[in-house]
Parts: sequence; structure tokens; C-alpha cells
Amino acid sequence: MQRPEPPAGATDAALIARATGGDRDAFGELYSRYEAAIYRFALQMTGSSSTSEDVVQETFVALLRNLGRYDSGRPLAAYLYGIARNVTRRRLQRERRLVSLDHAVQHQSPTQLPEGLERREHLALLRQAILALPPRHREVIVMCDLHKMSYELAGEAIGRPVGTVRSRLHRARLLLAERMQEFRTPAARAPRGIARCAV
Amino acid sequence: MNQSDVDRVLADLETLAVEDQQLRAPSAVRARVMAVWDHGIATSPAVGLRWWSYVGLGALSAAVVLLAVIIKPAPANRDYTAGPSGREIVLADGSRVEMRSQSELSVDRADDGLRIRLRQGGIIVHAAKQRAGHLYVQTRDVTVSVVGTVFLVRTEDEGSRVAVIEGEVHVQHAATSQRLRPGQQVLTGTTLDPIPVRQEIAWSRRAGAHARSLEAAGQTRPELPRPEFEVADVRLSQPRPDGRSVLQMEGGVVRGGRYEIHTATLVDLIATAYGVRTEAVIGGPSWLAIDRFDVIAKPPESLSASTSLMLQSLLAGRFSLVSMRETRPMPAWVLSRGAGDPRLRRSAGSDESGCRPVYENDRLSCRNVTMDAFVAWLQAGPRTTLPVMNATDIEGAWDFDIDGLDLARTRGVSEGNPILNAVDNQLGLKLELRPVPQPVVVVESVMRTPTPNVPDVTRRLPPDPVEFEVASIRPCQFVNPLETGGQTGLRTSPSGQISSGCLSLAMHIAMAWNLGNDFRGMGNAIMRASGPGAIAGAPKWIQSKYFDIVAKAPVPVGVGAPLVRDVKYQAMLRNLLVSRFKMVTHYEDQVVDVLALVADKPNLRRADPSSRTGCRSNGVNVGVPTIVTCQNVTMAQFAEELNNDFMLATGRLRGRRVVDETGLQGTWDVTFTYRVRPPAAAVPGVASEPDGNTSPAQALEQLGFRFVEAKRPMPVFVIDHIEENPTQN
Repeated sequence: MQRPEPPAGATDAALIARATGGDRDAFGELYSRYEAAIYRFALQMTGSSSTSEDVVQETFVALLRNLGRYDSGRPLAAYLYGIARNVTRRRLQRERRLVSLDHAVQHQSPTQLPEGLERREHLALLRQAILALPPRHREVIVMCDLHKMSYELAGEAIGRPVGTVRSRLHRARLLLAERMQEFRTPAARAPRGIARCAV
Repeated sequence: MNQSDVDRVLADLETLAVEDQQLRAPSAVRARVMAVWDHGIATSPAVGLRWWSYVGLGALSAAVVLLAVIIKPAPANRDYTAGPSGREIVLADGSRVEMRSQSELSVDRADDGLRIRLRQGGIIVHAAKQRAGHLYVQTRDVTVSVVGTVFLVRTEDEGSRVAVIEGEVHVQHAATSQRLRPGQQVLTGTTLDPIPVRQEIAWSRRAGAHARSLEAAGQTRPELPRPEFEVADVRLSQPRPDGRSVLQMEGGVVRGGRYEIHTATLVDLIATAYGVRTEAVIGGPSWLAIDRFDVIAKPPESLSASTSLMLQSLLAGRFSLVSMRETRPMPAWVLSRGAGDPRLRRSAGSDESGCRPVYENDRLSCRNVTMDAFVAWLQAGPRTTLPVMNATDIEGAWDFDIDGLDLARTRGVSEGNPILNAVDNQLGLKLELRPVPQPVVVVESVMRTPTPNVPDVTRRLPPDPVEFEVASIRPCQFVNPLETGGQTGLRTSPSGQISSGCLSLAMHIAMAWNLGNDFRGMGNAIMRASGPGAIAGAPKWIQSKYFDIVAKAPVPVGVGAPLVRDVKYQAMLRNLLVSRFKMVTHYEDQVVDVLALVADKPNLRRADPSSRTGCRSNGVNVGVPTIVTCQNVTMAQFAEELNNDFMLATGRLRGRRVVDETGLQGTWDVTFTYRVRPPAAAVPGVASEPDGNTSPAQALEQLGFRFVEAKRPMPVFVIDHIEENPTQN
């Protein structure tokens, strides 16, 4: 359903070839095919829409700059997710120093929620729990569980073998389940939120 | 954790995946990407002008003329991004721009020339002589205009810095305009550390030539009379009405014609005036870091000098400060050779240059880096506590990896940081704390009480902006940005436009009345708007009703410093909420839960009464020992320190304050060390930690302290009345 496979029509490789030859529309088509997936990936990784816009821009500008060097034997999805992953990590690292009010608000949200969480709020907590995972666990959850990528494609994107993807995904799901359980335990909420802001 | 918990998460993830399917990047992103295509970056990358590094100043004009012939000038209206090794571009007017690595800018046409919009990083501009117009460089909070000179601009999260190498530039920041000369610099963010211009230009391939220009300018520049504020209001800061302590100063910028610094100790004021770290302010009486002052001053209309110089004059005039600038050995992290040969591989000179974390392997991977660059990377780490210096004498560029570093949490150099052992064991180098000569300001004498203000000081100062020019308050539905792709965070602009985003009324109130704690080692305050009993007398609905405030402030707010700490924004927001929600509030003493600090058999050392009073901590770093050192403090001051440091490290406080009930008189030196486990395993409030880590409570017990739960009267913020709906916009 959501697997980032090339849609019907010209193949990615054909569009890359045309774009390399200067075909603007072909590049525009590539953008249209993958823009939403890359934006979603960045948003789910960073929680910031402005950062995610930058990630989309940097990812496609990088593709544009490397059209001539792109290895057509490699799935374009893995190539783009790989760039987006690197850009996202750089951004996260650079922005980690700032504890903005955005973050303070996000981290404190669990304590603001009333008892008996509604479904929507429950999902908001899940999003926060994903954002609180270490990047290497967060990215496999996002790629495999939210974007429904195969282990092989995810492995290609992060440059690790399939076995590593499997083990990280297993660990990431456990971590996520643990965090969700903590959110459900009122005693654990406030200090955890504060501690995350601090470190 | 059982399988059903994991299954439940997997089911939730399925729902999220479906919900997020609708998310797309705004169409503006597509437009920006296609604009890059249209301007041909893919097919004609800008020419790297490395050979310029060998061209001396005397040959510069000839070089520019030659380049104008052989290189097509960069067109207007396009974006430029510098890779890891930087980049140089030539503009249509012949100006040359050196871009620091990872910098981003765009160039477009201004009314009377070209405009560079620096979005990220730093640049050095060699502005060509402008025939009639100007060349402008704009960051989010500063505009620099020139007619022909060499200068540096850098934009950072906290603000911008502008420094001049040759000639003169005109800097416009908010309502302030300034002329800068060689060697002078202006910083717009209060949290930006002044960096010598010579150090700022070290990344340039022409750093040597720039340094010579600075030297030449220094020899010929005449001594200017010391600039002064026209009038200044200096007074002791009011204590916080909730009795909580203040850890840091705020302000230090000119807005609306007023230069304001709030809650600054004399150490802060001296450090700000002389552009040094607070640790480099040496000597003086023990109270130098205790008393806090507010300084509100009016700079001259035509601001032709740095406010730092005016602050120097103020300290000399009002506090009779006598100080000397010296170079003295001060602690610094020094990288040097170990006993054997360094285990480094000489770089093959690949294009990529720099250190980057490989998080999945807990590895720092450095390629094609000099030891200077490695040290600069260490210095930039958020956990770095002191200056880092290179004493390896190792020339050239190197490749190396360092394993076993949890860089997501512990990047930097601090006491107990894993990088210390890793550098030793894996690189054959040493990274250690040593005394190194550094610039310092030595306080010889200073008055504790400033001379009185002139009688009509308030009237002579420009009016204090405490009201928004216009504001709208609209109910909103709080949603996580992930659910809509929309913005829920704060947005500010240098023109004073503010959009608060969709926040609970409780959060707006917490910001307006500053109901937060300062925490050591953090750049921000934590609001206390939520949780049971957080705001006395407040109806429950203030937690669940959300409002978006869009307003125009008469001066820039939240620029160069977090909005949540901006006293101007707090005042304007306070007045807005009182007026529109008909709020009535007050502070009163109420009996609340506290933790009393008691001492059974204290194992403490009496302080040297002449030593500087204060506490220092390397911050709460998960997995790394936190070392808190307090010197010449009373037990009341020590209890306050625990409120600032301790609460982050443990769940024991749960919003309760620590109060001194030790009964110990006099002043003491106290040092204790604790370690917080990674969050995945941490269980708040658990005192016994099986993996050998020490909780703050355990560390304090070793000194003979313990906590007792108690109820004591404390000042509390109370809402007497608040309307559920604001009056009409």
C-alpha cells in the first residue's frame, strides 16, 4: 500500500536518463514521485515541518547535482532515502544544541493530557515516543513500519546488511513498546519529559 | 515487555502510517528545487578558485579583473551551497565571496546593487568598489551594507556576527545602526561568545593575508575617545516573586534605542564588556558573582562604537571598576602527543574533509582533517566545558576513527567524558586538562554599590515597550505538526512579528509570568504550566483550551535569544493576557510540599571566605559523571543549586523545591559527583542503582546530607480570576 515503489509509467531509470540529458519535465516527474515520501520520512524523523522542507530540498538538489553519477542499478528509492537520512542526521545533530520552546512543549505534552487519553492523543504520544528513539532505531521504525520498506531496501538506504536492519527493528519495537508503557504510567511521566529536555 | 505490548505498538504504527499518507511538502519546496534546476547548478558548478590562496593582497585587484574575464559571473537570484571544503563565488559586480563549509546563501538584486542572503554558515566578502550603489549582506537579524571592503558575516542559531577585515561597513540590527572598522565586530545574540576576528577567519584559504590586513589596520588606527552611553539606569535586580533563583543574565542588545541587560552579575557585566568567558574574569571580592543588576542605557543616536566599549565605560564610571587585561594560565583541554607514535593514517586528500558521527557504530569518523580542525570539532561539542587547544605539533591532514562514543549524548570534552580515554587508547594522543595562557580580565578593585542614577533617568531613556502594537487571540485545536504538516511552534521575525503557535492557555501564562526554573547546563527554561497544582487557583480548563496569538511587537522579540527568556515578550504577553482574559493574579505564601535538606554528620570543608562564591557543573550528561563544585556557599545557596541541577537528574523532586534545613552556619566548599543512566533504562526516583552508577541522592548522602519530605510555606503564583474566552480581537 505505502511501499515506495516506482509508480506506473516511465521507469525511474528512464526518467533519470532523460533528466541527465536536460529534460526538466523528467526531473519534475521524479520529484513528484518521491517528494511526499521523503517529506514524510523527514517529518517522522525530526518532528519539524520546516526542517523537513529543507531535507526535501537538499535531497533533490543532491540528486540533481549527481544525476550523471547515479548508479542506475540501485533502486532510486534507496538512494533518495539514503540522502534524506544523511541530511536529516546532520540537521538533528546541528539543531540538538537548541532546546526551543517547540521542544519544551512537545516534551511536556504527556503531562498536559487528561486521564483517559483519546485515540488521537494516544497516537500523538506514539509520535513523540518515535521521536525520542535513538536515530538508528528511529530510522528503521520509520522506514520499515511506517513506510513499509522491505528489509533489503531499508538496508540499502542505511548502508547496512539485512541482518542489522532486522535486529535494529526488533530492538526499536521493544524500545517503543517500553516507552509507550511508561507514558501510560502516570508516575513516570513528568520526570521523563523533563529529563529528555535536559539531555 | 511482552509480545502483546509490541503487537499493540505495531497496530498503532499501522494507523499512523495510514494517517501520514496525506502529508506532502508545500509547493514552495518544489519551486525552490526547480529553480535550482533552472539556474543550471547541475550542469555548471561554480569554479573553485583555490589558486587565489597564493595571491597576495597587492595582486588582488588584478586577480579580480582577470577573473571577471575568464569566469562567467554568478547570476543574481540563485542559491549557493558550500560543501565540506567550502566554496568561492564571484558576483556580477566583481565582488568575491568565500563560503565556509556547509554555508548556504542566495543572491538577488537590491534597489541599488546586489543582496546576499546568508541563510546558514559564514562568509568572507571581498566587496568590489561600488560605483553608485551598495552591496548588502543580510542574515535573519542583521543587514550589512558596504561600498567596497573586506568583511566577515556569520549566522548562527543564536544570532549573527559581523567583523571587518579591511575598510568600513555599516551594520543595521533591529533599530540600531553601527559603523565597524577593521578588527571590530558586532554580535547580535546575547548567547554568542565573542571570538577574536583573527580566529574567526582561520577557516579561510586567505587567512594569512586577512591577518596581515588586520595587523596593518591596527598599526594605523588612531586611539578613539572611550565611547559612553548617554544615560544609564543601573540598579539591583528585583528577586523573582516566586523566590526561585536566577542563574543567568538576559539581554545585552539594543532594541528600540535601549540597551538592556537584566539579572547580570558583575562577572557577567565584565565578561560582556571585555569579550571574555566568565571564567576568565579573575580576582575581585567574593560577592562579584552574587549580586545581580539590571542595566538599561541609551546609546548615542549615531551609534558609532560597540556597546561593549560603552559598557566598559559604565563599569569604570558607576562601579569604579579598575581592571587589567592580562594573559594568564587558565584551565583548558589540551590535545597533545601520547607516549608512543600517534595512530593516525595520513589522508590521501579526498574531497571530504571533517569529522562526522556514525551513530549506528558509536563511532566518530574523521577524514582529511588537520589536528586544528579536529580540535575545532571538539570545541564545538555541546558538552565541552572549557577551551580546547591543539599542542600536538602534528602537521598535515589525517584519517582516523574513534569507536565507543555515544555521540548523540556526550559529544564534547568534559570531565569523565569517554572521549578522553578513547583519544588516548585509540589514537595514541592525550586529551587532558592543563593550564594554558589565555586572555583574562583581572579585577583589582570594584564597588559593590553603583553610584546613584540621575534623578530623571527614566524620563531620559527611550520608552519601554510593554504592549503589543496589535494582537489577535484565536482559539485553536492543538495538533502535533506531524499530523498536519502545519506549524505549531513559535515563529518570530526581526520586524517584531510573532506567531505563538497553538499553545494551551496554561503555557501562555507560564511564559508570561516566567513560571519556570533555570537549569544549569540548559539553554532554556522549563515551564511549569502543567501537572497537578502547577498554578494555584487556576481552573482545569486552562490546560485544555488552546489559543494562537499573532501579534506585532514594537521591537524585535525572541531574536538572538529564545523567546521564552525575552523579558520584553514576557511583559507584552502578560499585559495582553491580563487585558483580554480579565486576569487578576497575585503571589502569596502557601504551604506546599518541599524536600528539606538536612545534615546529620556533615563531611564538609570550611570555605576560604575570600574565594569567589558560586557553583559550577559540567551539566547533566547521561552516562557521564556530573561533577558539581560549589565554593564559598551558604547552605541556602547550596540548596538553590540543587534546585537548578538536581531536578534534572532525578525524579525525586517532582516539582518540589529543596529548602535548607541543615542549620549549618557560615560558608562551605562542596563537591559531589553523580551519574545518570541512559533514559531507556532509567527509572525515576529509584535510589539504588545496580550498575554501579551513583544517583545525586546517594552522592549527597555520602557527604552526610539527606532529604526529608515536608510541608513549608512558599511564595506561589495564584490566579484569582480569569475569563474562559478572551475579549474580541
